[in-house]
Amino acid sequence: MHQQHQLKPQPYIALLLYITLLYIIPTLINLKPLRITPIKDAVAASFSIDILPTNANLLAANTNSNPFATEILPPEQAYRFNATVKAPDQLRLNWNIATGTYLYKESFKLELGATTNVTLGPITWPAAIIKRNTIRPSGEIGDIELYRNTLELIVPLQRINKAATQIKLIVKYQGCAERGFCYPPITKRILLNLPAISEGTPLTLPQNVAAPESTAPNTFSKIAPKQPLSAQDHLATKLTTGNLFGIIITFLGLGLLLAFTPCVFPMIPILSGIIVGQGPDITPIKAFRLSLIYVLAMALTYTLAGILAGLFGQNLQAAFQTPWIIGSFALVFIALALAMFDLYEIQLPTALQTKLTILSNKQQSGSLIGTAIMGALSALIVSPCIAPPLAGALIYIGQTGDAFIGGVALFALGIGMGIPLLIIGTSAGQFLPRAGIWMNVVKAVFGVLLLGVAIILLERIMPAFITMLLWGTLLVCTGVYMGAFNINTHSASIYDSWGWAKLSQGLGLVLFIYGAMILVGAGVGSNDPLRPLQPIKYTESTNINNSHISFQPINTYTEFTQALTNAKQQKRPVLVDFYADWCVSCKELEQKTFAAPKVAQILNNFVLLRIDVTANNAQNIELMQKLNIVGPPTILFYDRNGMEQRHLRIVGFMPVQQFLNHIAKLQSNIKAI
Amino acid sequence: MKPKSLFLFILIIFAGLVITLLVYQKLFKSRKNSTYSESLIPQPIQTYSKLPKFDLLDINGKLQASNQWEGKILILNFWATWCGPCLREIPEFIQLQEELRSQGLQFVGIAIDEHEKVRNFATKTKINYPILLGDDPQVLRLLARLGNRFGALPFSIIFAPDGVIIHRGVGELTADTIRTKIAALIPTSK
Repeated sequence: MHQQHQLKPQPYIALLLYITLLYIIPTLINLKPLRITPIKDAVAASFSIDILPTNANLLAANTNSNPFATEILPPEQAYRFNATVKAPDQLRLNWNIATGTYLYKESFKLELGATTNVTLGPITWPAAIIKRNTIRPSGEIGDIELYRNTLELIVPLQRINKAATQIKLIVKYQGCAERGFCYPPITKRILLNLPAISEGTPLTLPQNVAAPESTAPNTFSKIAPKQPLSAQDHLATKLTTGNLFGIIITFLGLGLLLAFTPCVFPMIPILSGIIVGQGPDITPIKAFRLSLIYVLAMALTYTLAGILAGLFGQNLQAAFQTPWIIGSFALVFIALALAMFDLYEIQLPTALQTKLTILSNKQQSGSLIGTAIMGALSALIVSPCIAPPLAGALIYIGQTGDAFIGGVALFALGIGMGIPLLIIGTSAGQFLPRAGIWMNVVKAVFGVLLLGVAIILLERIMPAFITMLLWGTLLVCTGVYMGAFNINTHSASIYDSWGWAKLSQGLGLVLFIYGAMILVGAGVGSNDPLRPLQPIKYTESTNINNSHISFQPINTYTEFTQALTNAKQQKRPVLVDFYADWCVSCKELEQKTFAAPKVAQILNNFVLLRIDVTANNAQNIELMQKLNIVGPPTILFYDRNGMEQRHLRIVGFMPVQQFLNHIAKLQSNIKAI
Repeated sequence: MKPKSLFLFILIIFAGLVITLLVYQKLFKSRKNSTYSESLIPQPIQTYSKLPKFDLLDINGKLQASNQWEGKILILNFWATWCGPCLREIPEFIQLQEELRSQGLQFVGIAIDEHEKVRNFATKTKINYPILLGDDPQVLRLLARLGNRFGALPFSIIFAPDGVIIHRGVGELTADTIRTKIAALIPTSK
């Protein structure tokens, strides 16, 4: 009789997974393969040919008689170009010329943008293919020299100054296809950072190295042109060069560092809550097993989501940041929290309870799977943080398509992030009181923490005013429950001794007051629960304007290019901030870094653009793909000439001082150009 | 609360979450899809199906308006001196222009190149139809609106006397192709 009410987790789980897959699979089918374009500062073809969207069937769709234009390879794909600094006084230029197309030797033009310290040396050209009896631009018939397949040029540089410097290389080239049409001349402008020439090293200059036989195209050399790489590009490069063991150790360590950021914090009460929720019969081994499952599920989810993001440019985490999912998940935590307060104690018949204990094996496997699901969802929903290591791995996967190395790195990163969780989870099992009043106290504490997690989640989708009220209410109620206003100590007698009760009362009072401050803060328009009364302070101080910076919102790629052009005309540098409401680090950046008066003062010189990618819509996806953004927070810098300073990209949170140093680098760069 | 009921509880909540998701998907799918197609799937820019209006300088420095060729079989040919295939087809055009001028066939070349080079080539090869200078942003828009997305050359469009486009394509256009395309437009009695 009772058996029919018995809980068999497996069918539920199967159903749950089935439903989840039903949702996930259509999403995955919609994914569009991502083409990460080579890193470039500005690509200005002498004519802009991007006017028409890349719809290959456009012509065919409009006229039924179009035998020619159906499958024209875009010029960027016909001639894949990259430039690298081979030595302090040598550049290597490489063209991968698509089959069926060629480049004219005489159309190549190389020059350097405004610089006096560096000049181009003579170039030794590899032997070209000679096409005879061809009509020449002059109208005469003659021979013409062509390059096919690959072309590698070694360009010697003559340097007057030994100090590290940046040069702007302008390369022009033009070619045609065998099928009888030509591409317009292409002009590329590339910023290259030349390292300093050390005193000891002899310059390779005198012997102008001729181009050796073309090497196998290194897909990853695209990332190399800029010498001081940004942190994430540096890590991406490391993935190509490092050995597997080194990669694992590095990313494990980086993950460990990430574990101490606000991105991972919410996971601590979640995992501890699960373990505490197991009840008094939890053993350290069980706790460890649960923690391990949680961490493994989290790391695996990071890996899978990362590989998907890298290969398809779809940010799965961003896809999960819809108000519905966040709201539902917050509800889960509220429910879990209330369970911690024993509001859900379901009084099962004793007979059933014994049955349950007998079935403990099945039950255990069930809770393991439940924990795993919780771990996976935590990774996707609770902490969608993009930090340099994550971005690095994603860039690497996007550029090389090598999901294995990237995946290994991501998994190591996830495990690194999970190590502190493992320790905390296991010790939660270790030190958990076996039973009695203390057990209830611990459970209550975790209940409050889980409510906190729920509010953190809600912060992403609700106005600050409401979440401030929630924080205040939570703290005030907790304070009261801790006995803030107990006059008669006997009523606090759930505690073992009088001393504990007093301590609890005192702490409760503190929480109450803090909660009250937050409530007041909400009333005066503060949106930071850590500094609830800030607005009051600021209205008194005079330099309020200093710390107030305003961003121009950007919604589409067209708007973005427009804003960039405007800034270029005004000769102002540009800062582009990729932001999302659900992004914890973005808020940190905004509240801690951008709001600092020193930073705000400097930022006033910039044109400040903000791309809010909270909504994971088509425009935002397009923007992120076109600008090669992995996710928020990412900050891009453009100099006065509208050139992106790719190596200065910031991914993730950056504290004030570091940010100031970073900006200083940018400014010295701007002067140099 | 017993562990198992806690677990069941989590499960129920998740089931709720997933169902909410599905409902959400169903409810908002149509709206979501429409925004998807608006910008992620590129919308074709409105392309011309008839002779567009444009004014360009010719190699003699005179402004030429496109409407002067209305009523003729117009072949617009975009070319440049850096484009080998373009240069190869021009002699054929010259011949055909000579042959079918009386039938109302009019070639017009638009050169996307430096003026001096264009002028030199045109005089050297004795081009017998107007050559306009396309070194102009107007021409880039024109190319795009005519359906040439990369600015690949040569690019030729044949307009019927009523201005309707009867052929367009990137790549060499032979005299034979032109003859078949315009055959119906030429009175055979002559």
